[in-house]
Amino acid sequence: MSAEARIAELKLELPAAPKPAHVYKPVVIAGNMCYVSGHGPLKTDKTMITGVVGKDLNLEQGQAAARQVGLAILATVRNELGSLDRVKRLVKTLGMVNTAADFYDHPKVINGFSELMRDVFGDDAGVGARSAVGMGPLPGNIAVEVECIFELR
Amino acid sequence: MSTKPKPSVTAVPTPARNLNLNPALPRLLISATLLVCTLLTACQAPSPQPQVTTTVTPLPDTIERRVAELKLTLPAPTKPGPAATITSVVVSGNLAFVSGHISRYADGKLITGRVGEELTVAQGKDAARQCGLAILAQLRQELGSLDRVRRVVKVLGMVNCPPGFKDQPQVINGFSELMLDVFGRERGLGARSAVGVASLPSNVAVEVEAVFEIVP
Repeated sequence: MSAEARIAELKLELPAAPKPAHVYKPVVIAGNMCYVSGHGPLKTDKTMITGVVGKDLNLEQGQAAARQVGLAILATVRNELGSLDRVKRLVKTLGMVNTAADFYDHPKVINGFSELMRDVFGDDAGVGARSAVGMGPLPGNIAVEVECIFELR
Repeated sequence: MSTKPKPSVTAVPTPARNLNLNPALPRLLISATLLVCTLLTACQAPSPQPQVTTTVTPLPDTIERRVAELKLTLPAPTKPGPAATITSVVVSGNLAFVSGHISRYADGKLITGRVGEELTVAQGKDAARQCGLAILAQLRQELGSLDRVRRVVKVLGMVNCPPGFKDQPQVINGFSELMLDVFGRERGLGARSAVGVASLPSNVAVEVEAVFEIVP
């Protein structure tokens, strides 16, 4: 099933593609690789999910934030390419969690993002290489930031 | 009396059946044409692959020999379970993207703690080296042989450390020096970022991810 069909089937609500606030592009296409800048958990009401995971937010809330980042990235990539069906596969993800010092479940948090990608692009194309790490403060104290690389058709 | 004009010998093409030709020849010609067309289509390049151009000398198959010479013990490569949301290595064109590998001893036990707090820089450096061994093991499993690795392209080394810790480059040198030992200066030296992070999964000391150029 195509990515766009999956999104319709899952009734996913994508936020508006974010506009860059500083000196960068939300996405750059080089050859057939699509490099996506770090995105925050942008909701449809244009606010971000903020807070430190393990302190202000629990694991489930962190996962929800990571999933929201995924929706924002899908919005950006669709905006750039015209259709998500042009995505061949997710290649590499860097998932960064705004964490408390003694929080160690970063992979579980970033699974919120990775499971969304698997749902939309499938078990093979939607599962890529990944690092899930804890960061000190993130911009605007957002809970999760994710950057990733897709391969295009 | 009207007579049918004699057909001109030069103008009318002679039907095949009037020649001593193999009746299967037209079918053979069609098959041959189809085969040539198929081969031509297969030879056409698909969408452009990312190419990292490199000016290093042709690749001798010495990497595996080097690993043996250095008597390196590569750990058993980890394998994400069937419900996994990640995969350890993704090969795209001539690039291999390796997921972050956390610091473990050869027996699989995690190397945990913050460098500059519970661990010294030397211990952190050793942890980074262990990440390197794990990544080599993963690459060998994915590619079949480390001789398929052309070069290290880009490394992200993350050190679990307290605020104010400054020696991340020295720690990540544990990884980078291993790459130099195995691949040599030309191939083992890549772009790199060595950073401190607030925390890492399971409180490990070091995590390293990297991109390699490979022979596709």
